[in-house]
Amino acid sequence: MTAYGYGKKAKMKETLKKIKAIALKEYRHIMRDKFTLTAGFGLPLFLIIFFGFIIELNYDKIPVFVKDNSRSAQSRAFVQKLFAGDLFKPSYVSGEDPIKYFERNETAVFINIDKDFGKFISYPQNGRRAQIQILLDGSDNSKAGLVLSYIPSIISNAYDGKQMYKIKTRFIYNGELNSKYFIIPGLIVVIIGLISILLSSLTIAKEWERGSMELLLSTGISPAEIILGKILPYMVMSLIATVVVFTAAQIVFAVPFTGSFVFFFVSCCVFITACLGLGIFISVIAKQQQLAMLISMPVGLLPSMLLSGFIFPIENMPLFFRILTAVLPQRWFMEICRGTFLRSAGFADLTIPFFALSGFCVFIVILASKKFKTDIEP
Amino acid sequence: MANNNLISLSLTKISKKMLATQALSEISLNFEAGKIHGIIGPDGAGKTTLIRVMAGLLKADSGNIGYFESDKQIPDNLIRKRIAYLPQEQSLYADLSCMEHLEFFSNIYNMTKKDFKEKSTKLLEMVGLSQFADRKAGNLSGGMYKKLGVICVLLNNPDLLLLDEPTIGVDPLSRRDLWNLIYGISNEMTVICSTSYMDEAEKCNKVHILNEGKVIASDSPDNVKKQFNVKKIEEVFLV
Repeated sequence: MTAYGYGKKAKMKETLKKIKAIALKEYRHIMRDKFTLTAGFGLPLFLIIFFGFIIELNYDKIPVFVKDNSRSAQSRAFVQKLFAGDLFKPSYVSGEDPIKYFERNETAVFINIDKDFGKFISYPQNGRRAQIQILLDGSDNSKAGLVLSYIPSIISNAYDGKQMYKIKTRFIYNGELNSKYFIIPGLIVVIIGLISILLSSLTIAKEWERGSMELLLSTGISPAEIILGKILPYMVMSLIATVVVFTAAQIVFAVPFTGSFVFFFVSCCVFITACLGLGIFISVIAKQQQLAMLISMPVGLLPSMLLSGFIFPIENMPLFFRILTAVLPQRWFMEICRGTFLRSAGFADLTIPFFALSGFCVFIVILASKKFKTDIEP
Repeated sequence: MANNNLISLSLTKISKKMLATQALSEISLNFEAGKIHGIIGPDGAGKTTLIRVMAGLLKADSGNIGYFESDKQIPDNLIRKRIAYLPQEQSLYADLSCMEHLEFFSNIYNMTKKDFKEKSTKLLEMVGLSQFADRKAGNLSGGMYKKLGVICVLLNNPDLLLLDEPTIGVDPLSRRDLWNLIYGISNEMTVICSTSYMDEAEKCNKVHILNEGKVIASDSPDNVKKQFNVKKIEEVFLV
């Protein structure tokens, strides 16, 4: 072996030794850091379970309201055939204007059975066949598209392919089934929610990290004063961001806004306050900017993307996740956003989402204030 | 002008554990009103913990702490507003200017605009920061930074001033300026100042020497030196 070769080998040995030392040091850091351990080992398990349950692209038990004007044995048999599987969950209604059900977001499908259905399904006369009308909520274009393709095929199979009926389809909103109309209002929720949570999650942690919290606490200022004082400027920032996103939705994507501006604005304020409160709560708990950021990214993004009804329908989720969505501000603001943008829904139609959102907002601000430490105990 | 509302403190058997460390062990001390008190001790003696307990930011595990005004105890809910505390660590906002700091704290202390203007002008002049009023705290020297911290907490006209190692990391000239500042305000309030610089003990009316969380002496600097039969305070730790 040459001197050069030996030197190269020795150098390599030295490098490996250094790498080993760094790796050992890092290993010790990891083993002593509960957060990294949890993220490394607990997170994969959590994510596989979480995504496995949430990502459900098959529709199941879609609520369908049926108004049977025929009230005949034939119409009842028709409904029975139509809803034989698990795809739809029928409910009989009568009287009220179908549009009201859509405005209240109670159903995405309404089937109106003609009063002469019983007569014509058995004996078509002069080319006149039994009629059914399907009203669809086009604001959820993926669901509407699916229903539109399924119902005729189900009926066709039920009657052995005989064309004994006539289907009239009407879209209540978004007749063109433009997916942008569905996606853009949802994106507003995702973007505003994420920005608000992210911005505010650093603010208290920053005070702790740079040592200014100790001085601030010594002045006798109350947690509520600090929290509300912190929320206000971010509120203004988030509202400006909302205006930017809203304007882009209108101008760039030409998404119509059919509801009440005042109600939408008030709801925006409540949603932003709720998200800022959530961010502040993360900040209060984390006390370190890096940790606050690590927590706020999934808390800001995952519920908006997966549990708000933005992509995956809430009614298809397992019971646990359906209950979980009820405590998420993103889920309720998603309903308000899509309702006001596309369905002309107002406060009367969105009372439950509005109050649920307001309730969360009050709860999280109080919780953050309660969790806020007014001392520097370790 | 002399302050008639000066606060005295009485600590009785104060103990405090910080995680696994016994930071304070049955500390009993009296801090007379209107004097400059030095809490002296090496690193880890418990000075910061003691100051934080007095500032109400840490709760003692056992013992009592009483704040008095002319021998009359001040209720806990009224004391916080009368205390000013400057932590040892950098606690100002690097991106805010001196004037913005003063404005911020004046609002926290609920001062009127007129009071703020008068007081801030006076304080900035007193510490020689008038010409740096628009300079950001992050761009101040160590001494200037500390002076800004002190005047921020002085805005509230406190009756008790707690300073945790205000001269640490500060050049000798700035240390002198800071002590001049403390002398200047000492007739208006009770000052309790911790330090690990033993020479600064001589500048205090009374020194309270801590070591490993226990009081080893509490008297005037001269009496402490006599008690330990030493020429300099730092020699107390060598005895």
